[in-house]
Amino acid sequence: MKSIVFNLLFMMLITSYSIQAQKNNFYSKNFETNEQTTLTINLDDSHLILQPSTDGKVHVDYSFEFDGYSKKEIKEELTTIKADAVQFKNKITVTANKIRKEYKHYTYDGTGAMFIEGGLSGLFGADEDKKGAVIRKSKDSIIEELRFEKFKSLKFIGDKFKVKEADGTIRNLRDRGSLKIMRGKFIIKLPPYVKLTVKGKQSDLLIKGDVVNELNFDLELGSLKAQKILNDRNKIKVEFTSVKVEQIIGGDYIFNNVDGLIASIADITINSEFSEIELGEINSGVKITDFNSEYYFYNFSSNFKQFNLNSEYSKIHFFEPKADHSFKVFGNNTINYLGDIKVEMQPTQKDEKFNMMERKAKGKGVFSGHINFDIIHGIIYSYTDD
Amino acid sequence: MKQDIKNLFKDDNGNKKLPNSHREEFLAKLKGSKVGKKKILSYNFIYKTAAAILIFISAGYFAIIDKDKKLTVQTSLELQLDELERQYLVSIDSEWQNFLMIAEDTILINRYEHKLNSLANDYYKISKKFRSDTNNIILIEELVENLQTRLKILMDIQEHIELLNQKTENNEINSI
Repeated sequence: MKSIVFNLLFMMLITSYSIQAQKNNFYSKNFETNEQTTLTINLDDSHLILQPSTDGKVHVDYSFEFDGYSKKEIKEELTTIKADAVQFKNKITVTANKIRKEYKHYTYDGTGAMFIEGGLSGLFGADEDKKGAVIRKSKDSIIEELRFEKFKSLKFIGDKFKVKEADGTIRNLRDRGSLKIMRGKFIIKLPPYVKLTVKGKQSDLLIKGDVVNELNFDLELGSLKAQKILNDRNKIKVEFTSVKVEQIIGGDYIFNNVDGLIASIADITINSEFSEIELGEINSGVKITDFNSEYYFYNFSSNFKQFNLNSEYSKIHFFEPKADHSFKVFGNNTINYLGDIKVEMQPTQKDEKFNMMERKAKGKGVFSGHINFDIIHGIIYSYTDD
Repeated sequence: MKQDIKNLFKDDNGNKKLPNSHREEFLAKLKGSKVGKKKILSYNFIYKTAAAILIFISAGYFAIIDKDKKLTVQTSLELQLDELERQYLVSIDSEWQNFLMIAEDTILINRYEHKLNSLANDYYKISKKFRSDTNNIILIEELVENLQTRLKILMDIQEHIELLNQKTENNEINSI
């Protein structure tokens, strides 16, 4: 009798385990395309991965990973998710919402109250202060920083979420208790000629590989991470978003409250405000218009030709280009810190702009380009390698 | 058979009289009537009322229990968030007043006012979303980031203005 009870309990244990950890392929569809095909993606609370397609089709795939959820709970979660992809002639529209982003650790106690590990103050620690140690970063070091971000991530391994440490080691979650984790994977593959429009709210967009598609992005409250975005006709507008890209060539960008780290830019116009943006290398054809942001211009390429900055109330960290160049600062009411030296450029009585500072090319070696700052109420921090 | 209608009324008023025992008869009827109604109330009505009260009490009890359960789930996280929100808003208001004291550029003030209003609207939208999905930690992060952003931009611009105001009276053109 005891053995029957034991076997029964054992079977129940196995059964309950199998229903609490599973991967669910929620949606899968693909579409034929041609040169006129456009793809519009509407995202809300989602996490999207874009990848190049090699078979000329647009592929839309959703899957979900559940750990700690009962079969009933999984069913309930899936019923809250709305996703659809339709094609009308050459227009494909994908709509997805409530595909919740990866949850942070949380546990339930006996009464069902929720607690966060470390509490709110621990979870939302202060941002790293860049001002303390501003050093020149190379383009390559930023690429390395982007590819190997030092953060812990959760990996779904063997029907369980496990922690992947910064050094790559995998460990089980400690004190699992009644921890429940759900993660959605939403992957769209598209051929390079398809025009892509993405409207995203509270969504994360990860672009893998080189994207040469014509893009029209309007992203709010989320993140944009990409390797290479290459198209002159791109229109990218991002607000309250983290932007991390290895290379951008071409396009018009609007950054509002953006935390940006971009290794290399060329042939691009940026209109920004209230942002903090690090640029690893500035190439030819770059124009920036800014209000009240903080920029880091780490390097200029050996042939950037001309760089124009128009700004008000901006902080500029300007690292002297290594190759020969000219440098002109026009405007008024600006301070330039050059090491311990402070150069003050007062406004005129009528607040007229004037030629505040000029450095002509030395005429030695290869001339790389002209740097023009038109700046009002600005603060420039200049750095040299001397 | 034709008659004057006025005469009909005259006749009625003159001939009809109440019997002497009409009070006693009325009271007897009234008494009999009350006894019958009392019997109906004591059985059907009382049973129905009792049943209805019981149902109301039960429904109320379970509603309160259910509500209490929901409140318990909400309190831990939402109370923390409410307290955090209160603290941040006090600091934001204080920094806004400080900013107004040192800022002379009306265009800058208007731009900041617009920015802060825009952030407050965003906060309201995210907050509304969070109240219907209190398990979503990402939304809490966004709420806190919103508050932090408001505070940070106000503190940064004050620091910026103070640095600019530290300048001497020299107006110079620098050639290096």
